[in-house]
Amino acid sequence: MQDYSPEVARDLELLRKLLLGEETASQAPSETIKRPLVDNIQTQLLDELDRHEDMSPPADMKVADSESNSPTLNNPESDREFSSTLNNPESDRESSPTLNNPESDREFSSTLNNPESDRESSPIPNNPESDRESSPIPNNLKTDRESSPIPNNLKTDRDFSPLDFNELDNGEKIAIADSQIVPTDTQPQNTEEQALQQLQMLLFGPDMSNLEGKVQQIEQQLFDPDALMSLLVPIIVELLDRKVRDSKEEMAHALFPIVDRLILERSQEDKIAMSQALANVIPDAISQQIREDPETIIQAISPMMGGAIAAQLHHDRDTVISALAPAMGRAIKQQMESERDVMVDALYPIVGSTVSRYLGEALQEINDKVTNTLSIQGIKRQVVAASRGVSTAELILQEALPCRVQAVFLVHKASGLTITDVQRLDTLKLEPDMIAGMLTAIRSFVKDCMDGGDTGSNSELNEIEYGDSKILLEVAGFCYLAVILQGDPPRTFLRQIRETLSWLIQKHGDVIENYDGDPDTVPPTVRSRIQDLLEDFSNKPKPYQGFPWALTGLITVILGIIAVPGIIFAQNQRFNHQIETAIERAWYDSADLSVYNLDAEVTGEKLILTGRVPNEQLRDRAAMFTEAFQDHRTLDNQIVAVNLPPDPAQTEAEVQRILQLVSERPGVEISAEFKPRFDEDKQLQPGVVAIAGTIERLEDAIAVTQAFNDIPGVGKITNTVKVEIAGLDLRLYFGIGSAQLQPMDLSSKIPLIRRQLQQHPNIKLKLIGYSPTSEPNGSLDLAQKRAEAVKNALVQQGINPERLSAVGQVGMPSDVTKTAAAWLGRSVLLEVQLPPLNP
Amino acid sequence: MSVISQKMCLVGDFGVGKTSLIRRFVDDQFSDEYLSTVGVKISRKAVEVTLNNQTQQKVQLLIWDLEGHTKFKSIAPSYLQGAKGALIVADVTRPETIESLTNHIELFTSVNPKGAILLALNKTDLVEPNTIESLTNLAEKQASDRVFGIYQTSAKTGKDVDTIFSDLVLKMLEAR
Ligand SMILES: Nc1nc2c(ncn2[C@@H]2O[C@H](COP(=O)(O)OP(=O)(O)OP(=O)(O)O)[C@@H](O)[C@H]2O)c(=O)[nH]1
Ligand SMILES: [Mg+2]
Repeated sequence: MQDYSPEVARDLELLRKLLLGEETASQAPSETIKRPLVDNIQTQLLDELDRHEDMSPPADMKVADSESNSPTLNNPESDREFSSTLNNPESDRESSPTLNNPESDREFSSTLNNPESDRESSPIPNNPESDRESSPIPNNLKTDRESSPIPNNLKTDRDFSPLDFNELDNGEKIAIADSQIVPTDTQPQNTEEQALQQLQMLLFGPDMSNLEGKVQQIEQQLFDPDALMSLLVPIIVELLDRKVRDSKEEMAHALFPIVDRLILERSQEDKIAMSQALANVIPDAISQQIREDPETIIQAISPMMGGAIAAQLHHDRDTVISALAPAMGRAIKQQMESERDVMVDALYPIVGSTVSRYLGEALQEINDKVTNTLSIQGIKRQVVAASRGVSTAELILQEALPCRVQAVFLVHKASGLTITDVQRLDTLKLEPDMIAGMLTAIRSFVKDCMDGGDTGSNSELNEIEYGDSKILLEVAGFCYLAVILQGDPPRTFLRQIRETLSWLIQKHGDVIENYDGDPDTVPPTVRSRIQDLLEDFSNKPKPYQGFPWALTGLITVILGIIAVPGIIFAQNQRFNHQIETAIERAWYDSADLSVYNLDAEVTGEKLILTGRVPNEQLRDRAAMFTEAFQDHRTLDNQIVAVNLPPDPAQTEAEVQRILQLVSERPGVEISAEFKPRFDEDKQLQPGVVAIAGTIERLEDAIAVTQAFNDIPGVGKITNTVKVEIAGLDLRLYFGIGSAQLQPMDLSSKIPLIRRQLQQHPNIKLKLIGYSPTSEPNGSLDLAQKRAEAVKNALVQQGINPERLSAVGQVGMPSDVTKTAAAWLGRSVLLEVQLPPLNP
Repeated sequence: MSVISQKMCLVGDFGVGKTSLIRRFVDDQFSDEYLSTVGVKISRKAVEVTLNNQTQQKVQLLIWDLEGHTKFKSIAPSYLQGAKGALIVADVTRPETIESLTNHIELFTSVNPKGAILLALNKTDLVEPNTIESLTNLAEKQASDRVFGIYQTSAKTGKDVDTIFSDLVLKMLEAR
């Protein structure tokens, strides 16, 4: 009772005064009095109705009517609303005819339609209130749903037809109903009557005869579902409206737990009506729930969010876009603020490539311009520009200066832990953890100092220089690459760094973000990709591949002009020195020359190279590096090749010469091919000669192999030459499905083979068993067994099993045609294997 | 089994002995000279710990020695980023350094909500045991749920220095 709103309390008070007068009001709590009185009035109304009953069709019939009509009701949802608002579970179950009775409802509605009485003095406003306090709406709705989809009030109507009412004493019945809500009331009868009169006055005006007419009218309306509905709708609407207005929260609260099922059931009946009915409270119910338990809502909605948006995108893209568009900017901005690193990582790869594509286009444009400038018209202007071009030339030359990447670290941005590091092997090993940690601290420090702790700022420490070394820092969201190098890197290298970082973020962004110090979580590709950064760059003699040629051409022209007498000597000197440094750096940077102490001396006319290398190739290679800088100068290569090493070209020529020589011998039909070999450091190694073909005599085979092996620069011979030693070119044949040596072979061929093997103790024999596919029960196994049989026989005759290998092969020997007799295929062939050569 | 790298920080007011604790732990040395740390100093020590499941784990410990907090200058939160643990140090001869433990704990936890914290009440060689007792109580009151222990250390004598570091490493690995 205490939760009455002041408004309602005032209504109650007024009613109480009306019904009971001032004195009693102070003695009893208003609500204990109110109900029986209200009920009484309603009962009287019922009595009135009963009197009219005689003229109307049987009660059962009419209720059945309205029920069977219910699905076609104009406003089914108002039924539901009505029941949910008005029905009292107790009275529902028991008997309370007062509230459920359509008649009294009608009365209420007619009263409600009167706006004046509505507010101040009518007893009706109390009804929703008393409902609220005596029966929570959710229960009510639940009962509804559980019992049947038929609106409760209609159902109750059927159960308690006016006929039933007639059989009961009204006063008793009310007492029963009341006893469940409040203690039985013991008001004096006369007071009640007075009050009733007062109320009647109030309700129907002084003209009481009017009432009968009204009741009759109601009665008629009852038979017509449409009329009934139109009768009910206003009150329902008003009640609901009032309820929502008075206690939105409560309504929302009450509806929320069942909204889903309610909607489901009801919407099966009438979707539109359902949505209209609930529209008013659902938003509140939802917002209430969001306030109280956002997690549940999120969980309920989240599984279909993606699908819903996708479906909507498919269905009506523009709506979604226009719905999201206004929020997008802010959303991104907020995300930038709260999770900047995630955003940076998300955008880094695209931004990088977009910008570099743009720059690439710009560069192309410049190149085009230069190309145009190189036309005859442009030449004149160019000469004038040449003086200014000096600085450009220097700049580009400087870029051409080889730069050495000493180490690359991939560092976890927040913790400063090294995710991966690669370093050159030939330099002092750096401590990745310490350096990365310090770099991270420095980065933080600089950022804190420069931005004043503004974490939203995007400025980063890009580079730290010390002497001629520097550390490039390329930062993404959760990591950064620290590249420690000497000299000036070409611009392409910076692009390479960025590409690498983009790749890392795209492929392994998660691993990097969540790195917690365990190197095993880092995929090996991360390391190899970073390794590329190191190798690629340091092995690239010309770092500006794909550099616009016209621009390069222009620079060459400029360089030419610079070299023309008239340019002051000092500048020449400086320039020469730069060339020297450039050449030396290029050597140093190349894998094969870096270890040798080579010198370049540039004078006006000459380019002198000095130093010692182990072979001629390296000497020439050293000279090759200078070509770019040689210009008009004559090259004086004074580099000494200490041990004349095999020149691959020479070796190749020698191999061909030997081949020609040995091919003149009878029974030798071979080919030979030379392949130079390099080790991991691209150092030239003794090459390989591959010999193939046939040599009839074993002696010849060995001699030929040795001849090739003796060629300087040849380290290995791969020999697939077939040697046809007399007696070893024979074959052994087998019966169908058999791996049994034939007695003839055992007594003649096997001793022959044995003798040859004993005569040539260096050779080995490969026994190849065959089983043609056409052979019944033929198999690899059988083929193998045939070879095995020959091997065993030879071993039994005293041949070292280590000299014999047995293999099986399904099919025919290569020289046996398919049309040949089948037995030719069931065989074992012998293949001589030459002894290894002593180098 | 590979060596995993872990970052930890030493935090605390100026002069409480952060640098000295690290020096004792890493080099087993101590000096009475006071050279205030400026910015950050990173030290490194390889340790091997026995995990709960009895397996051995090698850890490359990167110890960030942060400059002490002063009235005028608080430490930069960015230095704390990515640290799995922190040793928050106070000086038993200066109770006010114990009082500011709360601030340090809060700062560290705000940057690393899952980071493990151990409190070191340092310079215990300078005061009576019963004084230490009451100071420990004071420190206890400031501990949050991320604080896993309070140790009474001395960089000078080496008391509990190794213990506190290796216990912290264990806690850091557990939190992974
Ligand atoms: N007696 C004693 N003295 C200590 C101990 N620890 C540190 N000290 C001394 O306290 C002074 C400060 O020590 P530091 O380690 O430099 O202090 P800090 O916390 O690194 O100081 P900031 O770098 O300025 O923040 C030095 O003079 C140390 O010798 C200890 O356990 N016992
Ligand atoms: Mg210090």
